[in-house]
Amino acid sequence: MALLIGSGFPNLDVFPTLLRKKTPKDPINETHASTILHTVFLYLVILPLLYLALSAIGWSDSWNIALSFSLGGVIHVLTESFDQKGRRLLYPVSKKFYGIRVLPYDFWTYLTDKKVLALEGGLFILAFLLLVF
Amino acid sequence: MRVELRKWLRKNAGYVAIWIFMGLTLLALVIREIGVYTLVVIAPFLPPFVIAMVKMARELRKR
Repeated sequence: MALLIGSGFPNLDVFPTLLRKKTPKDPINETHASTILHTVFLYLVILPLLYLALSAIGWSDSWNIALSFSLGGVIHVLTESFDQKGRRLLYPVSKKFYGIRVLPYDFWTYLTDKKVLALEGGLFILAFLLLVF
Repeated sequence: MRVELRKWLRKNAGYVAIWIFMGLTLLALVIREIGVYTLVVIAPFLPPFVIAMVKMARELRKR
């Protein structure tokens, strides 16, 4: 469960994009995926802090929970760095966006891209098999 | 990119159906796996989901 929560956590920066009045000409200029929530650095910081906090309140498995949460966040950021925007992988050393930019970033284009569907479909089948068997 | 939602949905109904199918199937399997705790996982994303749905409904009603 911590892995699931962690893997969804970076997307909380979608709010400014959803609440905006105007759509930017270039979707790459959106706030979404540009904040600290989409950096590997944040999850490296969260890992020991979450572990210490959970241990302090006496949770068993605090290391597993903290590691799963952070791993979920890091996997999210690394997987998304394959889109045209890239992600701030070297933050705070660099604020530049890095990644292997082979997938579209724009939401509408993303939904109708065959490469994306193949990748997401593959991940869907994998998740399906893991959850069923 | 700005799209005309009604036209876009009609043109890409197949893609939309596949995405909805994948999403609902995984949601059902996650519920089966962790039960009521699924709410903890999806709760933070309910507000953005509701906002997106309201915006979409407004856009569709416009024309």
